[in-house]
Amino acid sequence: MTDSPVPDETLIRADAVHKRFGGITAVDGVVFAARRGELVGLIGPNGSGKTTLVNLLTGHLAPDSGEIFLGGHQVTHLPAYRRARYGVGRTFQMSQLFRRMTVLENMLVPGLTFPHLSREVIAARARAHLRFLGLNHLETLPARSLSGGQQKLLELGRALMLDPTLLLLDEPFAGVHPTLRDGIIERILQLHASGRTFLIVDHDIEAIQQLATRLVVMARGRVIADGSPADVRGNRAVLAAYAGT
Amino acid sequence: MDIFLAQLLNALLYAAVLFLIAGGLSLIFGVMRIVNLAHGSLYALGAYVMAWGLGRLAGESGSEPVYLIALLPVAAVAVGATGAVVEPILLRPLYARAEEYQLLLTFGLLLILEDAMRYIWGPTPLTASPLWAAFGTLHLMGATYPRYNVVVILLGVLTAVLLWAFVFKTRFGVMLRATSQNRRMAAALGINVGGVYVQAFALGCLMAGLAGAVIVPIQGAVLGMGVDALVLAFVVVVIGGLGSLDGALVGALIVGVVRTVAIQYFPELELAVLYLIAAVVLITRPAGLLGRA
Repeated sequence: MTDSPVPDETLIRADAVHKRFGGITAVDGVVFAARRGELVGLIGPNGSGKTTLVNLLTGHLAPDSGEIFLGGHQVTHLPAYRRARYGVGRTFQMSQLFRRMTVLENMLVPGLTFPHLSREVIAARARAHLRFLGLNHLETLPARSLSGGQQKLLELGRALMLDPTLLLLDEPFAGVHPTLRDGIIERILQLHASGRTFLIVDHDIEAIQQLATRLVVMARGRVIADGSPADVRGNRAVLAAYAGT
Repeated sequence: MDIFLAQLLNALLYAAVLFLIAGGLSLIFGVMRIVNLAHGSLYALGAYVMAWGLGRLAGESGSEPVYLIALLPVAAVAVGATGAVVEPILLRPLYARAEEYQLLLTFGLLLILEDAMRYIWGPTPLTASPLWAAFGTLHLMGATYPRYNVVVILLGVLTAVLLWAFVFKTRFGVMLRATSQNRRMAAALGINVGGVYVQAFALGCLMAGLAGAVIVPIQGAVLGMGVDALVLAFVVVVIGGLGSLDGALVGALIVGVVRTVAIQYFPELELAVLYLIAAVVLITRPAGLLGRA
């Protein structure tokens, strides 16, 4: 776990990033920044560009123009795997587990990318994270046999193996049973309290409001609101975007 | 009994060589989803490098078994290195395009390699049978059998064991399997997918080169041998399951046994029987016996 957050230090920043797919502008000049230790919720209607922005921040997509900074360093053209090694962990909208591997093997994969760590150290770290997530009794099962909520937890655990300073979670509550959803929220809050920075994309406004200290709202590829959950709730542009007007 | 044992060993010999070729083909497909049509030519390249090396090292007699130990790694590594050059330069720019482009490119590479081998070593086949003879024969349960063939069988078994250990017991093997299952997620977890790809492709090519090198003392190096090997390797992976190393092993054993039996009892139908089995597997189990749909 990292030290206490440094509230005023920007951890990740997107400067006027654009991304087009054919004739569709998915991200249109977005300016976004998250400070160390923040827990930011990224919301917006379907097709508003949230996941594309996350992909740009993690290096899974390259912007057509604009720049991305991580910890003050330009990382616009740095591939996803290098950003992961610099402490950017992420999960995907649809679970992306290594389905033919066991739960423990899934956890080992990111750890093994650190050549200076021995297998024993990596396995011990993996088991500690599995205990934290309440999945330790499932470590020998194939990942494909887990429930939807357990798969989301395992994805979170796998991202934790990178010892990330920034975690980007894309719809972590989608398709998750309410009981497990509360478990995921609890874990996220614990990890946030330990100093990690979060950017969480979700449609579950209720869950996001329980978590986020700040909400960023996107519509049609642009940021239309950015502020506290209370401010955003009353924002007319946000209401209009969700109403589709 | 002696004929049965000799035929069994023949089946295993054939299966060992086929496993080396088809295992490499399957490894490349399993990790990278590339059907490498040039794989047979890379097998032939291994054969030519081995035959040429033997000629340089020992002249026409080429009769010291130690040459096999010296030249097998050289030929296999030469072909593996070819793969390590081909993947980043020729294949990588095509990953974002439709699969047809990769098929066309690897088919073009097949033709280029065939012509390159013709240009470098000429149209006359290269032989290394003195090396095969130098190993002598083995007397086993009443049967007399070439000792070199047993060496090839053991090499096939050793390669299968080492490959299994590499894929399932090493750090890189875990990353290889992760990348083969989900390359996008693998990248998100810090794996250099490009690095894994070049190593997987080189390893697959190395196996093809090893197969070519090991077969030279038995059948020589001849133009066109790559295409024949490719067709049979496809039969193996269709039966076993493209992308599955277990499948390549099982498919190679099935093809080895069926071919040996066919040659013994109905030699005219040898290939037809193999294609028939492949067709039945394709219809009833399209992903192969051990493949995943």
